[in-house]
Amino acid sequence: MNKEEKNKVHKGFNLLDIFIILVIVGLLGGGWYVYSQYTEGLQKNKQAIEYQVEFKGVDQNFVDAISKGDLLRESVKGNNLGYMEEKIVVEATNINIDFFNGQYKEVILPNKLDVILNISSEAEITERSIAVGGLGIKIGQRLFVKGKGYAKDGFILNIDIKE
Amino acid sequence: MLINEKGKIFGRINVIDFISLLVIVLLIAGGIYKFVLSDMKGVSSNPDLLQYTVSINDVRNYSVNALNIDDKLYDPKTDTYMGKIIGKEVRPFREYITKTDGNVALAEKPQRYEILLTIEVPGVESSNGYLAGGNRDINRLSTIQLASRMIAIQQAKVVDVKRVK
Repeated sequence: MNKEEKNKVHKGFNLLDIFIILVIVGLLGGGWYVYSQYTEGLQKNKQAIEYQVEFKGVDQNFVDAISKGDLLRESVKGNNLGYMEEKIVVEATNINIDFFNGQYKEVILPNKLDVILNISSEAEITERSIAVGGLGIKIGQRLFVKGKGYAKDGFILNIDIKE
Repeated sequence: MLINEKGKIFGRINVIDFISLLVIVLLIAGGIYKFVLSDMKGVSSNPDLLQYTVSINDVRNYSVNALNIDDKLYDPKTDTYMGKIIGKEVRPFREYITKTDGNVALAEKPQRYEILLTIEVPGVESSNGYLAGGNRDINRLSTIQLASRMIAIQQAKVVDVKRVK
């Protein structure tokens, strides 16, 4: 038996092959462990939240299409954003510049409405982030929302983590 | 010859085996660099303590209420730790408006605010400047993005930076 034959464990495998396979299996196992710890951590930190999204300058028929209990989704990727609990409708306003007098003026936009949706959801909460349906949300973030028969971009105004 | 007629390097290792081994070694080395060495390199064991102030303009009361003392801030793009809020000052937001007669007026925008945040972060002061977390440049008048767990700030203008310890 020559030196090369001695290194063969089975036909077609040598010690180096076995080593490579062991390293790959170890890496896969390690990766799976890290991922499972991460997802388990997220599950443990799931909490109920309520957050508000504001749509500005919409029409009355858009407002009428929004109903309590609507399942809302992110309109591009389809993430589950939660359920519509309440809509608060006010006259649409805008802040314009009065160049004649050199001041800002808050004006009401005729026939337009601003609507704030209160949305309830389960969220994965970490020290750095809050995510609903796998999508990170933060106050001030633009969000593309789709419900039954309506879709609009709005901004997140507030996030309330329920105890 | 480096590779013999059987395709073995130095007559011992198969070329495919050698490449596989090389890829694995590089992957492990890359992992160690990414998760261990880069953190060590970022801030030394005895970092400086930097203090900087940012101005966040033209925001509503929702943003004002979402930023609080002791909140931790991060760079949303690189995930670099950008420090802890140690001071917060809120003013009505004012801006210059050029009137139709050519004069300039300082006008207050209704329901809009300017927030001044004072932030402390471990970092490095060098001859080239101030680095938060050892790798994120903090320069006066530059605009940075910040995020806490609750809020994303798209534009925060640095108005002051110094080493305090």
